[in-house]
Amino acid sequence: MDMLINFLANTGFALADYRNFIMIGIGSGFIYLGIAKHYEPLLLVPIGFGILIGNIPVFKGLGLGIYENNSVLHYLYFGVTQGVYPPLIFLGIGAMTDFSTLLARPVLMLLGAAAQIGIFITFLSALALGFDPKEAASIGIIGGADGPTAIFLTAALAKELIGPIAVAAYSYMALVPVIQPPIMKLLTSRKERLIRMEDTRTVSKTERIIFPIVALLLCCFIAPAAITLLGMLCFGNLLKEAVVTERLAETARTAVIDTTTILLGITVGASTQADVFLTSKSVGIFVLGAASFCVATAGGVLFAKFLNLFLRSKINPLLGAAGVSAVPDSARVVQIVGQQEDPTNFLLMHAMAPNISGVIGSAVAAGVLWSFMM
Amino acid sequence: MNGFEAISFYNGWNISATGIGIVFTALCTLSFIISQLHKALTIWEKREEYIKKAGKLFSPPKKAAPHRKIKVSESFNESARQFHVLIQSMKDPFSLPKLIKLAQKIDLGRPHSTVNDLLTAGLIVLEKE
Repeated sequence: MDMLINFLANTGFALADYRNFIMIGIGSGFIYLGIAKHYEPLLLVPIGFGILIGNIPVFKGLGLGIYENNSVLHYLYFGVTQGVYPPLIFLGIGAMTDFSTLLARPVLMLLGAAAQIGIFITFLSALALGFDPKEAASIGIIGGADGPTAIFLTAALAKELIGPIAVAAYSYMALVPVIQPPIMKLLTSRKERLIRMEDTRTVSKTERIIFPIVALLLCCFIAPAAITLLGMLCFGNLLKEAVVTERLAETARTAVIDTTTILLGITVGASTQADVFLTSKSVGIFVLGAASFCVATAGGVLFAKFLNLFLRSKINPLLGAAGVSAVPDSARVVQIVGQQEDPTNFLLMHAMAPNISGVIGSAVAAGVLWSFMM
Repeated sequence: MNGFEAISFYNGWNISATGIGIVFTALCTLSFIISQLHKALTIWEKREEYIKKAGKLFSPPKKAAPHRKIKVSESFNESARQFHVLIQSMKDPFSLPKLIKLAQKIDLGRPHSTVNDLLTAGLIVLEKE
């Protein structure tokens, strides 16, 4: 009888408190959004399931929880806390990405730079709300709308915030189709949304091969701390464009990125244990993260309008919203909003340029913040 | 510490201004370089052509080849004049067989041999294919 009572006392039902159930609800919500609504399913489903795993209450000392040194989950979480997974994801992104549209119209790269203003404004806001500078920098990077970059910087500066920041970053990335359109419509007139982009020139293979090398050398000479992320991004892209390394590129864009995404998603999700996650800081991070995303979107759109004052061939200002680096979701949102005004206006290809430059911009911004905080 | 006081205390204004400045500098420079990249590649691909042009600019002008005087007989001169008149009546470029036929029609002596002599002397120039 004692054995049975002991067993029952160690079950999840006995150990759980209301916070575990809140988190299980959030995890289930993520899984629902991923599967039923198709919001970033490749991220939300693993993270959602990880939240379920992390919030099943376990008896401390058995080596089961992610924060216990001898647990398997803890070893897998090592890739997050030591910043191993984000560069591997960047390798895969590089091997998937075609930089042609960016090379054909380099001015669009400035939109990616403008959207990074969200990072720095949020950094200031977080400081003003009482976060210390390292935490503020980690929160600010959510505005880059780049999950791997946010995790990478947080792992370097404020490990204890990885869970909330990663969940916030990926949640907002998944909610791009909900968050961005109202801001885009608010800041542009119908006439502006109807602007058609000029056809771009054909980009040669040599240009595409040279670009990752030039981008890496230039950006990392300016901001050396961006070397880990940009190095892998550019390397992945070189593997793709060189063609002779197609086998490596294929592995990077399939097996490597998929395995890493699974491990990253599940461990980040599992790191959101209720007692660590449900704090007032997490609430602040979510509020600031949302603000950061909105400011980044607005920054890109307004900068596109500013550029139009000087350009002969006008840019559709909706493209500015793609400057946040949620690839390719924000580019897709630009296409959808553009087509709501004119179904024959195809902006997706053009929106990929600021979108990709946003990835580079947020990696540089992360590098800059990291070097300032060291 | 909260608000502007915290921002100033942690040097937030400077960090933000410098940070956004660096991001813009990096991407503006990259944007400029890639906007020039295809031009640089075009120059590289046509480098031999440009080297030749540059070589012509800097090399001393070639002396004109000395005028070659050909000694010819009076009868050859006369035949050349007659063929010149015939050629003027034809379209330019003209065909040699037609010229020969025309010469035979008006009874010019030894048209085949004369045309051959005119070709050898460079007075009739064959069109390159």
